[in-house]
Amino acid sequence: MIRANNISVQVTKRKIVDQVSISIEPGILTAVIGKNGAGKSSVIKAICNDLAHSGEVTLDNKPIQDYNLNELAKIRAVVSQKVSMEFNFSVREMVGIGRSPYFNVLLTKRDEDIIKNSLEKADALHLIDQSYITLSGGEQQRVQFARALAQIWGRIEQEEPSYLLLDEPLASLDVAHQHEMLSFLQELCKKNTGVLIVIHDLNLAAQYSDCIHLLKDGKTVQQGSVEEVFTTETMSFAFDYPLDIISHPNKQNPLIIAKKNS
Amino acid sequence: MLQLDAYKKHYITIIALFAGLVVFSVLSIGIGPVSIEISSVLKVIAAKLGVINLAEDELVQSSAIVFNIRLPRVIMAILVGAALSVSGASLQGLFRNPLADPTLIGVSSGAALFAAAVIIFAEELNKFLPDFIQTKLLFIAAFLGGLVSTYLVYIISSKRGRTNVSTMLLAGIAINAMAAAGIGFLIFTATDAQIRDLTFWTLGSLGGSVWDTVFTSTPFLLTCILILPMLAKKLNAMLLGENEARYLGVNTEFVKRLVIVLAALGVGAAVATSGIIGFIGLVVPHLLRLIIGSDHRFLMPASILLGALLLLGSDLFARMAIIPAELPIGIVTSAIGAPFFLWLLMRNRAQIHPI
Repeated sequence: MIRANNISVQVTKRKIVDQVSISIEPGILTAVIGKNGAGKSSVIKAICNDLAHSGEVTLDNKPIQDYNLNELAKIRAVVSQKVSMEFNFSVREMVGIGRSPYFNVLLTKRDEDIIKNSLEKADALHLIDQSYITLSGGEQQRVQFARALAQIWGRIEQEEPSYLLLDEPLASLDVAHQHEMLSFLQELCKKNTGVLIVIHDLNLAAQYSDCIHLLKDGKTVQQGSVEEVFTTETMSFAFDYPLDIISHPNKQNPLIIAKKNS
Repeated sequence: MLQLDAYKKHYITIIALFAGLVVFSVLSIGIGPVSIEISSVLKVIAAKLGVINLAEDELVQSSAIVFNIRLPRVIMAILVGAALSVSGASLQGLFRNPLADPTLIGVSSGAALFAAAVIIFAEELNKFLPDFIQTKLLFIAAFLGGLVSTYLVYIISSKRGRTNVSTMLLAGIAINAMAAAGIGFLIFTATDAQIRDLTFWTLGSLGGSVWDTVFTSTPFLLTCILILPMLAKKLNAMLLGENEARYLGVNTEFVKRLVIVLAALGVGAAVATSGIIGFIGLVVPHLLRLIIGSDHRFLMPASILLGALLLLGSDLFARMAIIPAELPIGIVTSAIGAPFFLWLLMRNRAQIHPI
């Protein structure tokens, strides 16, 4: 389990993350939600040690910075919000970079198989020989997702605990791919992966998450099950906007709609 | 075992470049003001390696030309070309920008400034220094000069793993200007003989390549040429950004430092032996990216080979263009490289094509 204990991040005088505690447990899909500037990305960056922070982050009770980077890379994969690339890489090579912790110079047949399998799971296998920078935003996101998958593939296969941290992986995806990726993430959870995902679409978060972490101004407003967090008062407060929660006509999960109809 | 199909083009390119380099090396030993047949070149080399024995008076003149004049020069061209282009390729990876050329960003001129200072102050400096350092002083100074300028450009233009291209190029312009001012100042204090030496630095030439230079510079150049390609996988990851590279298990601080030191070592040693030879580090990786893409695992070995080949070709042209005189090779590479750079800028402006 990855556990962040009371982490705070301060940039100049502003606390962009304030005493947040969050855990990523194998088998659990946790969604981080909140309005723009609530500190969602900063929480992920702090967990990954990319932002100077106070408070401790541990993996299986050992401080995460004590892990060898290469060993950690085999257990935990991260996809940032925007991965820019100015150089000409094929999709195959891009996903191959995800195998970095495992090879020295040349990829083995197994690496190549994993590249293909990961791309297939991300519905991007047909792009394998294309140049990465010519892809659309959504296609690039799917390829980055495949890269992260290839990175921890072995542990997923063995159903050993692994961790996937995704910062808005759905932003440029069409509705079909959004649902496909989330259902696949649920499948991964069944294979002992712990998923932390920053998500903007509240209804998607409600439909697929096991656990919701709601942030506002860098502080935790509420964390818990979907039912616990998705209440009219809590959500309207967190998003500074009058919101209504109704129940989905066919499914169990709540649906969120705006109260105003201007 | 390996996915050969997907990388077929990469392997063919590397093998073709290697074959081309071997053939062209032998050819360019033969070509010169005194033309020597290929068979004689091969015989002389075979004899030196002890594979065959030559009759006592056979090929004496050819042997002297091949062994004392042409061979060290060809070896120097290969090593300098390889070091410059592999340094270029890795600096471009580090800066995450394909325009980071050792000459453009001021690495070469920083090295040249320090080397020039050593030439001018050699007598004064040698009074304080032990012998074994004296012979290497030029190389050490050029290395330090290259190191200082690379580091300066890097800290000025990069913030949290993102490089600002215009800042990088402007910092390069500033460093080039400072180095030019420094060298200009040194020229004022120099004697006539020293001025001739200094002119050589600024224009570049492989004319001074004798076995002595080869032996002194090889350890520096080879260190750069052999170790930089080992960082290929890590540089690939770093192209995604420093954070991403860390998620992939790369110790980014270590790689950054190593690339800066090794590139400065390679470029410094190249400058110390042959002066400023521009644009090789820009043109070579670029051409190769067009053919085999940007994967450093293939790009770096291919750059080594094509860099060697291109500098060998440029040196041949420099030797043969205005016989009996010689063109400075820096003029030849700049004449090829500068228009190429302009073409790149125009192409980048369109922004449709991948680089």
